[in-house]
Amino acid sequence: MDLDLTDDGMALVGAAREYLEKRYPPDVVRRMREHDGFDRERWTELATQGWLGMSFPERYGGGGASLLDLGLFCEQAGRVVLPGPWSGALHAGLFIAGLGTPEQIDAHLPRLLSGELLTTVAVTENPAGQGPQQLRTAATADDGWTLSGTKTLVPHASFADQLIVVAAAPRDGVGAFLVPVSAPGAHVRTHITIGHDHQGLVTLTRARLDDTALLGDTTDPTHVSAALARTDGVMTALTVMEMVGGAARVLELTVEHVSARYQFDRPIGSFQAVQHHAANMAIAVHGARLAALQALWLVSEDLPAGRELAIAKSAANDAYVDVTLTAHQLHGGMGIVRDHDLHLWSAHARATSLRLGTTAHHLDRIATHHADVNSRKAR
Amino acid sequence: MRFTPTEDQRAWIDEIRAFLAEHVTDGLRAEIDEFGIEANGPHAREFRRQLSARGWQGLNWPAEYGGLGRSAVDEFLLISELEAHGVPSLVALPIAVLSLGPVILRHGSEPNRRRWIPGIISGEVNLALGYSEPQAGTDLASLRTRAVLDGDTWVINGQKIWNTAGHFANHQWLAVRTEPDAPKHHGISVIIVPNDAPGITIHPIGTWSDYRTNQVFFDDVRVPADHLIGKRGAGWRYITAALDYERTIMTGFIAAVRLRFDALVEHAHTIQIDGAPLAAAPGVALRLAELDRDLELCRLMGFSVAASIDRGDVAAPEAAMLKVFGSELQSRVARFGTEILGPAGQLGRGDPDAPLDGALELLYRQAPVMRFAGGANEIQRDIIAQRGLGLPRTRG
Repeated sequence: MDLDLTDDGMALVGAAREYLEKRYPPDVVRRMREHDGFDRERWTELATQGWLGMSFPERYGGGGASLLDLGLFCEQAGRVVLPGPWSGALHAGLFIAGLGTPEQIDAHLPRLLSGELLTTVAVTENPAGQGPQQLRTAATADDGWTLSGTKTLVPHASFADQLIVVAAAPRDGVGAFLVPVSAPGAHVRTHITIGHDHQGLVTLTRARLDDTALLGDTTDPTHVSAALARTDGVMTALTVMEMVGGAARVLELTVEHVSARYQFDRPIGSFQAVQHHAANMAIAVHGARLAALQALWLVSEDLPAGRELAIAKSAANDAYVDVTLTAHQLHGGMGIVRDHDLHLWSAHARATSLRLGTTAHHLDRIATHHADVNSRKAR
Repeated sequence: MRFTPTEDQRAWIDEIRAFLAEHVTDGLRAEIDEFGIEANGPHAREFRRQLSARGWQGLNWPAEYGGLGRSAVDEFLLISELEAHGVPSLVALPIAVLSLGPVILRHGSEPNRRRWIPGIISGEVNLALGYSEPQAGTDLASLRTRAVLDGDTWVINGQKIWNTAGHFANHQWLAVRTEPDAPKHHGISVIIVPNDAPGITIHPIGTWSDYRTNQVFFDDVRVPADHLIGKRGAGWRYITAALDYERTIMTGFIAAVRLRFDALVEHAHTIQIDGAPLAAAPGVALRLAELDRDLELCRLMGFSVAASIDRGDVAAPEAAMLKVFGSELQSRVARFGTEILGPAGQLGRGDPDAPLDGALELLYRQAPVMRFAGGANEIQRDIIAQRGLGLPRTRG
């Protein structure tokens, strides 16, 4: 058991940090969030520099690196609150690689990883719910497929070229369908969200697709749900790394602020109350990061990680939110001003803590595990 | 990076478990049940002898003194297993072996080593920490107990408090002021004082937590000059060095809380109230899940401190984070644990109706101590902020 990175791992972290700090300073992040959210040049660069495809197989244009490495990149991405459709694209890429037929993977994955084919995954229907939901979006088979339904909170749907839509299929099936956004009957409206992250409401009204649109050529609900669950697990591990990266950066910014801000002829960081707030932030970030690394490592090694993911996501939810809220306390008036960058992280913290499972959702999973273990003991 | 044990570590864990299965006898459990960390009866002593015979008490000792050269992570694993099996690590690894012996080896003179090390290794020398005084707790460096050199004898006057092992240890590792004119941190020395020296009076202090501690008075206590450890005036350095070694105990302590928590969870799923298990009551299951999560975070923090020590890092901020988080988590487990038991949470050990034999009721009374002892959490947060985050020293 150890916590050391390899030399390659450390080099990767250094290179990612340098690149992201240079190309995504806060003013670029703000511009992208507050305007149309998509910078084609930066997007293509992220892909052609190899960051987007780093952990996908080389034969599809990926870098062949591990999920652990990708998670380390995500941590650096979280530090800068990396905007743009990258995490939706990762999710889509994982889904295609995990569920697609060899022909579908060949047809779609390289173009996704090169940045050319912007793809995102549309699953959620009721934004009040969490975890697997009852699907009302439905596909009927008729010389191809016809899809109707509504999907909410679809990452970057507004700039996607295609969507992977999870829908109910005939005979109690479930299918994942590749839907071009330009398909007649497909309509996207951008949600108004705290994170200004261009999530979309997708309405499908008898959208017509051909046979090749069914990912994996299967509507077996067990198979498709298993693929969904697996990619959800990977995305949770990656998102948690992004969150702890963001939280760590907020702590750094806060330490800088309280060291520079003088009141009563001394830096406010020399007051014990302020130091104790900062210490509590450090403890929260430290614990969440350890849990994140554990979950990421297990997922990367393809070991069971259900409990560790629940621990990591709930810890990261609480840590990132608490750190940003305490940061607002310590920044005072200056930190609440729109021109100050702190809210970039605060919004990101709330947004990421609400998707892929709130704290209550994950604690409930741990509680269910307790009940299962104890009912087995009772037998 | 790796979060599961290597083959060697797996073998080490199995070896520890086999040892515990054989040597954690009913007799030992009974002594621990009755005396807690003060357990010093024949079974506790035999258990320590067995550990010592395998070199497991001196994992962090140099090889020439019987140390096994095992890593801090290996120690973390040993301590975690001891605590998980209900053996407090301070019973298995007395402070003399854990930290004071290594300090003597590292900082003491050659005569110090010859005089004390064999006895520490054999268990014949049993040391109590003589640090705190009524006027010197968190501000330990302001301690006043004086030692004056009279020829080749130290004459010691003063008093110590919270001298927890004082009534069963046979020596004091005594922090005394020997240079009254020096700045306070530079005027302190460490002298080893036999507890049976004339002029020593030990008064018991009972605590709400059920353990016994002591106030110890020194009236013209005379001790040979060569009982001084290392150099005069350098005592503060030895005290902080001992603290560094004590960190390894901290890495695994949460396993004891985990033991009680797991029993609580099982209890909550077993005990029925009007046809439904306790765990089904509103809020209970989620609150237990949150504590479960935080116990895992604490275990990871302990592992992280051990990994840092192995990397050659003293890891003071990380150790401080572990101590703050763990002690406060222990309090939360105790508070919530007694609460979900409802009115039965009041029932203590010995009452036939006490849930979990009163373990949570006792933990509730024990938990406050760790938040102020061993470096009060307020100071630990100062350390995190100043040494960990680089914030300036607080003033005023």
